[in-house]
Amino acid sequence: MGPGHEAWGRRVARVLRGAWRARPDHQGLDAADLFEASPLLLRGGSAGLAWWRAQASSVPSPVLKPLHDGFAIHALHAAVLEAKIPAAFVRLRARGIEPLLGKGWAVARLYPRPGLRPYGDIDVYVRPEEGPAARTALDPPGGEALPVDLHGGAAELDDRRLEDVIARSRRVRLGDADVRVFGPEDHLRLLALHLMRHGAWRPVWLCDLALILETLPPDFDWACFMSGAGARTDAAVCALRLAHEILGASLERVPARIRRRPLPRWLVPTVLRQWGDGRFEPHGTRTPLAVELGRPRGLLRALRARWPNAIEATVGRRARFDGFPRLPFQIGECFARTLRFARSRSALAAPPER
Amino acid sequence: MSRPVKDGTGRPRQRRDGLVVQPLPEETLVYDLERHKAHCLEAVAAAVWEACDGRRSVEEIAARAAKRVGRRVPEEAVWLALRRLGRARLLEAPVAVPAPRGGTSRREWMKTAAMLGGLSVLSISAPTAAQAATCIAVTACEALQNRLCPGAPCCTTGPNPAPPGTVCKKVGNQNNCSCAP
Repeated sequence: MGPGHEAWGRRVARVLRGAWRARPDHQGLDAADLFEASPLLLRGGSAGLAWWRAQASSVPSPVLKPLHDGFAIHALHAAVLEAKIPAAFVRLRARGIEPLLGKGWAVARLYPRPGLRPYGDIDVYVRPEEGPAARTALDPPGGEALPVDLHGGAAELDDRRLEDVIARSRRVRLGDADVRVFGPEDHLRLLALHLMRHGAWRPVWLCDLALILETLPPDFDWACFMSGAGARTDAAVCALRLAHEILGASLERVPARIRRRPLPRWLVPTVLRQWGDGRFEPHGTRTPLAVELGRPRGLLRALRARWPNAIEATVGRRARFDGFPRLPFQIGECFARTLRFARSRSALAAPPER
Repeated sequence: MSRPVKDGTGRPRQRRDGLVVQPLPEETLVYDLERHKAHCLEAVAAAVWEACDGRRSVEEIAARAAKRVGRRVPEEAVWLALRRLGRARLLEAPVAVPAPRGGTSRREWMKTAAMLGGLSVLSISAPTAAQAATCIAVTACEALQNRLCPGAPCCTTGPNPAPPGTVCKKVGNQNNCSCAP
């Protein structure tokens, strides 16, 4: 990734400025930016937001058409998934499990329109000990499996007591059903840390933060948002600052401590380069490492596809977002991943215990 | 699936089975789960479609659609919308458009109606990888028909994990998408 990618990423950022708002301002939106950034917007799931901002502008309709189609497909896909959420709650509650919804629908519902924020599955969080029973309920033998990504525990929030997280959760309406979502403080922290852990590669994740920052409930508890492991809190704060720096999210209602947090010089260019890299293969789409290693020059290709960006490396190494060079963290993270891979391979290769 | 016969009653009925409908303020989005097509109905077409309950006549549909869109909807426009909705297989049976009165040709008649706007029933194409979410669950991928395969990564976690490195795409002549390398 180089400065070329950064320029492409900057185009994406210009298109998405303020696009999450109910009445986005299309002034300053450049049709050339929109046209040129369309493949990246479609690839990253931001087509709907780009269309939403541009629809009232003078951008020619042939430029808008693929973005509108992307939005429509997202909206219909969201309708299909949304219809399955109550069924997941019914099945889990029948087993005495009260699940939490996070990411996906839980944040998409806050946007002005369905379809602006796409999601691929239903993220459901249960207590770790409830995992096996929940799995069986959601994917019963011989029954219909629901498109649920089941999390045992609260993932990025495992530096907090799960029972406290559950106590702060809220019931919200979904059609005729009641579902439970994370409390706003926990959810904002979860989304911010999820974005950073994945190297901020999807622009729509930063739009999520921008939207939440501008629609905070009056009783939002910043002390609760900031509580937890220091390095994680720092990462979450940097994510909020990124939403302001890159997308122009308002920090009006954010404490001075967060507003004044300076960002290291490498951080914004890292995000923009990531957004501008049309060949980036996110986790889950790459050729498995074991397959790559069996091919000529596979190691080089695998390394290039898996080389952690500076954000992923900083989060992975539990380091602070400061001005020091990131290369040592990237090398360290790469080494740690290789070690994890070798361990998983040897565990698979080991003879079964007798 | 055989083509249904033309509706001769003049009281068209909206098709309900096998459709996912997402009404929005300016348009209504419809996904046909049987034919695997997505459609975008502009305001007047959506209002006409909504009014087709199998009991209303075209005149009554025009009145109801006009109330909903806040402007006059002539019968010619309703007929044009019905023809388009029928072609998109969004009615229980396609309608037989009557011959125009007053010596104008059917073509001119339809042209005049089309000038009113808001009558389009557009088919939507799925842009390549438009649904690039973090990942798409195997069940969600397999529920999509091959015209809508998003090219998004398949989830390697969850109740039914996909093999690593697979994406939701069209495979061979299968009707539905699959998680494949």
